[in-house]
Amino acid sequence: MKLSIKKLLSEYNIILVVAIIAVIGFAFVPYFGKATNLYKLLADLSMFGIVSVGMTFLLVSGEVDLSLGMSVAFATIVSSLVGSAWGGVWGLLAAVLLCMLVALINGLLVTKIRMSSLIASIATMTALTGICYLLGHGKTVPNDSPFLRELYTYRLFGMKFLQLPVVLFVLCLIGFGILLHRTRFGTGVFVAGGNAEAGYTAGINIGRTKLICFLIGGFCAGLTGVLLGSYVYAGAVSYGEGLNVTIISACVLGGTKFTGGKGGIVRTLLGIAVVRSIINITSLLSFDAWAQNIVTGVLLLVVLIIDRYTRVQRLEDAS
Amino acid sequence: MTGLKNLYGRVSGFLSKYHIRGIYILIVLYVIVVTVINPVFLTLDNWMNLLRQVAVVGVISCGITFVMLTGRTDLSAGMMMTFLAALSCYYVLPGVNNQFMAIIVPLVLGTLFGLVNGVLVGIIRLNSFVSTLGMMSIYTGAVLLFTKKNPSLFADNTMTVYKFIGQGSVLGVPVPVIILLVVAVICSLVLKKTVYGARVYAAGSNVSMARFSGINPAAIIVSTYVIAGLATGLGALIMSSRIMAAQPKMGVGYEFTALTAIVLGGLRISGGKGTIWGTVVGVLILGIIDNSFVILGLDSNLQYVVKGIILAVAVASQLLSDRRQAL
Repeated sequence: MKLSIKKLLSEYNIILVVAIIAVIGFAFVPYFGKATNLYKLLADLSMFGIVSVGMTFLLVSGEVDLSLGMSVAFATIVSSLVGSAWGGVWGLLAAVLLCMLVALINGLLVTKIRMSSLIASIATMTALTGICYLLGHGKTVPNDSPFLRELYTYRLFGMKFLQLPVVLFVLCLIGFGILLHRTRFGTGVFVAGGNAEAGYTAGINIGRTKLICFLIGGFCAGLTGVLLGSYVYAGAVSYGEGLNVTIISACVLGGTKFTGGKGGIVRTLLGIAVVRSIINITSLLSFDAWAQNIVTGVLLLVVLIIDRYTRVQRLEDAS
Repeated sequence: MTGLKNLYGRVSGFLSKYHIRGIYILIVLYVIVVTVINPVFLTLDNWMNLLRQVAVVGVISCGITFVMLTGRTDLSAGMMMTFLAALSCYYVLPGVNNQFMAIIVPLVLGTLFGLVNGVLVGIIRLNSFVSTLGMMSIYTGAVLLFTKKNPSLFADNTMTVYKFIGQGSVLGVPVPVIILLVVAVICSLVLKKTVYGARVYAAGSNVSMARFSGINPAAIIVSTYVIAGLATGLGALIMSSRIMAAQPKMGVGYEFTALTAIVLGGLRISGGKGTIWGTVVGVLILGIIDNSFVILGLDSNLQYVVKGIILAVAVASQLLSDRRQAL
């Protein structure tokens, strides 16, 4: 039993980070432990957690999609524009579907033309930035759809802890968690990132698996974008700024390997909890954006370095 | 039909024989079209202006080319440049007026920051993408902290030496353009004519072979990051002296612009293949798109879309022709 706790901690060193941040938060930061702040933090980390779950699929499959951050901004703009004109439901659908279309383009470039996903997603990210500017004429687009404006603050059955972002995040965690860890497709994702050649020999359609991962990424980005647009009542390019750092550090802090083959949904949950808690705590302590950037960056490097030097002793397992 | 196929084969054979890539022809055609629509485009004045605009990204791209030749990336360059530009600008603020430090600090610190990246990637052997992403986050925070009191730093206009670097010109050629040219020539010579250059290519194309031939890949990787850091420092110096000001968002996205330029220039991101002149052409292509959109009076936001499409198409066609040659 003792051994397994040790193993758990060395494998999931993110748990320690979560514990440290929780201790700092509850003990030293006024208002952190207050119910209103915790609910706020929970909704916030859920919103960004959804897109991080999508990125997890991509990283595990050995790819990366840098356009996800801009896709989120794109979704805020699309949902605001379409939602204001034709109604909220259409706004939601349009945003999610268009984000999936962008992801499909990425996926096809990567799987059919064999382009590096880094380059492919930089290309789509650049194009998407232009499209966002063109759609919003460089300005913030107001979100006038009552349906969309209520989404973020909607509470299921009027219960405080059943905020819609949290509910959606939990659904994503369970649904995509099962998909990644308990299905044949999920195994294929791990194989695609870990040893694609072996997977190919074993009859796994690596290309299709990766393509589906891209689509999941696009879907999650769209969902996060709609929620973000609903939170700020608007859509703008600037909401995508720095989002890639948030998303990727959440995944990597959790212990998902950037080069693929290893990772998990629970890891990402812990990772995004850490990243958004840091932002919550620094803003509660009335530090500006500088502190969260530095703390996130340093923490990311520290965790990576620790991981680098402890990895030798432990078994590399497939999941 | 067969005749058409034959012609296509001949044309592509001719192109690959003389190392002419399709994108070069496209861009020449584009230049001709733009010039026909508005002759101002092909004037010397406009090209000097164009070159001055791409100088910063050009210098940085030359440095990052070394890193990418070894199969690594550097995402920290954009924010590192912003931070260094802000530091440099600090020394020429009215009241501080220290031009020497303003010139030296970005170069020295850039080299040091490059060394940090190099140690993380080369010696600790972290994934270059994630670790430079972490550094990018740190530099973002650092520059926000540094410019917290006043988000826009404005340099003292009497700092003539400093101003000369960014705004001066020699015989009608802007100094940033001269710097870019000198950097490109030096980098190209280093890569093509020195043992070190050969080692960079070797470390990028086949690590185990490189190790067997007595090359220390870790040292090569560290050195490429140091070069990239120095280039980023130089870019920061040009940037802040050109606009004689600094603000925390001025370098956002520069790492992606540099990466785009380098890849447009024909570098394979798996490493081992690519040239400095390719990178310079890539930078020029991006500059031509920027500049022509202004000249043609098009919505400048459209250029992002065009750049994205060009990147995707250029790399896709390159991959397809690589595959055809491999067959």
